[in-house]
Amino acid sequence: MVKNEELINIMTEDLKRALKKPADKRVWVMAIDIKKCIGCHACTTGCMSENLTPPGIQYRPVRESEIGTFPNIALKFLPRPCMQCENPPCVKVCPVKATYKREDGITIIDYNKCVGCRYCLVACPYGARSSDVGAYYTGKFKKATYEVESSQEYGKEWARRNHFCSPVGNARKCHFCIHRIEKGVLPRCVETCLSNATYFGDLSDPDSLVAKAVAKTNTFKYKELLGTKPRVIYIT
Amino acid sequence: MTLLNMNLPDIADIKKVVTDILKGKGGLALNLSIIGIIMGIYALSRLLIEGHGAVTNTSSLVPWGVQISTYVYMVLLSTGCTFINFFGYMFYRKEYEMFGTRILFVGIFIAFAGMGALATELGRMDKMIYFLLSPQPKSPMWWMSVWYSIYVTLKLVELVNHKRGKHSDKLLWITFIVAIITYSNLGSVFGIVEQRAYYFGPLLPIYFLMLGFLTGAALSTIIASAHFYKSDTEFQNHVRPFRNSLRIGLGIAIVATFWRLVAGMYAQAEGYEIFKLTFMHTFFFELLFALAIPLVVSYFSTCQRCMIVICSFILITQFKIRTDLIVGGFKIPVFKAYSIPDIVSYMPSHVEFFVVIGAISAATFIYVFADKIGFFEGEEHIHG
Repeated sequence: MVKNEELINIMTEDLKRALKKPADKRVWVMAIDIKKCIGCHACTTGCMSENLTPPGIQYRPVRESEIGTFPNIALKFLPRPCMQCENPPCVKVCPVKATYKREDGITIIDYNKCVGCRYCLVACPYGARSSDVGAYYTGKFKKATYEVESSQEYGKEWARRNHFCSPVGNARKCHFCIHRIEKGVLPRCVETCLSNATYFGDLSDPDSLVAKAVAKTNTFKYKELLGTKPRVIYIT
Repeated sequence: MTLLNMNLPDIADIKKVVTDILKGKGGLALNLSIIGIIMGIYALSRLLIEGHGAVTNTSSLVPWGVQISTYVYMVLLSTGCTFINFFGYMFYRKEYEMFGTRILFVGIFIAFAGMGALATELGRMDKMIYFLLSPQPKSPMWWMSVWYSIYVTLKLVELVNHKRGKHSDKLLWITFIVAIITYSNLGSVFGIVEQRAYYFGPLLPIYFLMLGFLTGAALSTIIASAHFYKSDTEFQNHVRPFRNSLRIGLGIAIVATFWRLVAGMYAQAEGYEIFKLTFMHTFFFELLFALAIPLVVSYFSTCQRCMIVICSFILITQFKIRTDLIVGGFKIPVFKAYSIPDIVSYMPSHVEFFVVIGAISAATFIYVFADKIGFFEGEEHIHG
């Protein structure tokens, strides 16, 4: 069996190779092998610490469902990051163009423009967006230091000091950790996955691990019939 | 007093009413609306000082709450007033024109109050300038801001015309058409969202217009009924166009609600179980209690007081129905994780309630104040 570090090293090399290509030639995808997922929520926790998300906001929750009838039952897990749709409903509905697709296909939010109307939350069929309502783990008056530390999302410093400091009041979502991938580092959820269930890379590169993983096996895309063309592929 | 050719109340009359208010002699409606406005200011202060998330119960699961439903309710009420104004002038000019300025006036300020309620729901009110600086023409919400501005401007021009003793049928037609575009556009904000079964579909923009007509008819009937009449015959004669509009409004609201419910009950796709979940409420509360009963009662009880009671009942129940519609869209979450319930519930915070009270009170205050200072005097006979 391939060790976690080896997979990470392979995907990191794939990532560095992809970064040498022009942005519009990269096809970032995330593949999640749901047979391997053990529902440990390490990805959820890793993401929360990476992006310093407040209470109620998880960019990558994991759905647990029980299938079968007793005694023949099993637990199934479905991690759900932002699907980074090729045809994202959230982009069309944003009245101020605060959310848009980058050249490399990742949909991002410009916290400086977002008015907090939450129309994108209503429109997203995956429930992948959250509203930062300004909640804190340690209460609204006496905040712990880690609560107001700056997150590095989108390559900038975002300190949630009060409700006039973005991203408080804005919509928030998974962005495939673009602040990391632009530096040649894999998204945090990929690194923290205990069971090697998450792959990340450039699908247009046939030598990449993610392209090979997707090509070999049965796959599906979540709510594909909606025509959103997700870039998160589930391996079954 | 005349200003820019407009017939306006005298300064002395305004001073007298203000003095009465300060002495606490403004009358029940004014005093209550002032209390409501104070509650609204308190809510607004909390929103600005502590932030939206700290004082409201909306969340990522229920992103739109009672403030949005208040906005929808009030702007539909404004549309309804525009419809009544149009149909009044078109078909019942003789009986209607004495109320024309009032209905026009109330339609404008209800729209403003609704917009105020909407502004308080934004997570970052301070960034609203981006509606101008960074427009997204693909978004129905952006178009709503455009049409809304045009609609309110046209209504204001119409009001200025009235105050100059003029009436233009052309402007009446333009405002009517813009009102249809504006508020069907508001319906489309909800109707285009494919994943929210409770909203999705081409019926919703039309449904919004129908319910807008009903609430506009109810409010106009209250305004017409609250007027002083020398006899019941005079009352019946003047209220006839409003009463007819009210019955038509109730009828079309019943048809629209019924078929929306039936279509939803037949659907099998993901999310449509919301119609089954809310069936009892929709059938017994919305259809029978809030629509059918007022329709029947309006045929048998036509006295002045009865009309006010029936219409107040319609306005209150329609507010509840509007809130149920907006919140109903979020009852069944689109993604269910371990921490997300199967059915999401929502109860507004007291600050959210105060915003609603503040918005309604502000519109009420402006209308009653305008009435007391004599803003509507001399408008009884404006001819085109």
